[in-house]
Amino acid sequence: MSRATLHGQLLEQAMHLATRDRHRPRMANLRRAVSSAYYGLFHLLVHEATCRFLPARPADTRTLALRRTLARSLAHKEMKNTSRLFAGLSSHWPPWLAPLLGSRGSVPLAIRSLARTFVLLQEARHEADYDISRAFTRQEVRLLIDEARTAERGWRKGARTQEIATLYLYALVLPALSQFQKCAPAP
Amino acid sequence: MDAFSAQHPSRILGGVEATEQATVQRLLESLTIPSDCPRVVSTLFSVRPDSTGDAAVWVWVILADREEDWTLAEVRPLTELIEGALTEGGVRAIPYVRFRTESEQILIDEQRTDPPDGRIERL
Repeated sequence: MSRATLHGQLLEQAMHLATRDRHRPRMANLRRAVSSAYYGLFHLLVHEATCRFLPARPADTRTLALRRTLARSLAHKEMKNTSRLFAGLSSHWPPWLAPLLGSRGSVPLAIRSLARTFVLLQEARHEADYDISRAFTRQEVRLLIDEARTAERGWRKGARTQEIATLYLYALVLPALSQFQKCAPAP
Repeated sequence: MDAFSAQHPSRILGGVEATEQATVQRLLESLTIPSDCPRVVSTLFSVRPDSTGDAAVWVWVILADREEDWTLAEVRPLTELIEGALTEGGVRAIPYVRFRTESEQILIDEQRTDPPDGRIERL
C-alpha cells in the first residue's frame, strides 16, 4: 500500500480510525473508517481506469485535463454494476462485453476479489454515512478494511497487468462517457 | 441444532422478498460449519434492497469472543461457505456477509433500533 497515493492514504486512514480507540471504539471513527476504506478503492479504480483509458506523459496537459474530467464522470452506481459482473455477483453481461471476456468463468481471482470488495464496501459506505440505525463494531470494520487492503494488494501485485484488468477498467469508464460533457469544467 | 425466531413480524415484505427470506432462513439453518472454522454463536440476516435498489441479503455472523480480533484469513472460509450456500440455493440477491463478536452483538441488542429479519442460534 503506497502512502504516496490518495488511495493508499485513505486505506491507511481507515485502519488508523478503526484502531485508535483501544477499548470502546467511537461510532463516528468506525463509520469514517468504513467510508475511507471505500473511497480508497474508489480512487484506486478511478485512477487506474482513467490512466489506462487516457495514457499521458506528465507534460501532456491537455490529456491530463481530459483525464481529470473523465475521473469526475465516473458514477458510483455504474461502477458497482460493472464490478458485480467481474465479481461474479451478476450474470447479466452486456452484449458488447460478453464476447470479449471469452469464458465467463475466467475472471482471475485477484480481479474478482477487487470487484467484489468494491461492491461490498460501497454498500457498507452507504450504511456508514447515511443509516444511523445500522451499528458498526470494531471487528466488523477491521475485516472490511482488511478486505479492502487485501484487494488493493492483489491488484498492485499483478492483477493490474492482466488482460482482463484492462477490460474491467474500460468497462468502468465506458458508461461514464455519456456524462463526460456534463463534467467538463466551465470555460 | 438450530432454533429460529422471527424478530420483526410486523415488517411488511413484498412477495419476492418474503420468499427469499424463507429460503435464506432455510439455507442458513442447514449450514454445517467445519470444526476448524471460528466458533459461530449465531447468525442474523436481513433481506431487503440495498442502497442502489438491488436485491440483497445481509448476513451477520456472530463469532465467539476472544482476546484479539478475528482475522480475514480465519473468517474467509465462513464467508465462502455462506456465499456458496446462498448462490447454490438459488438466492440471486447480493450477499453482504459481515462478522461481529458475541460481546459486540450483546451491546447492539441492548440498543437495537433496526432488528434483523431472523436469527439462528447455534448451540
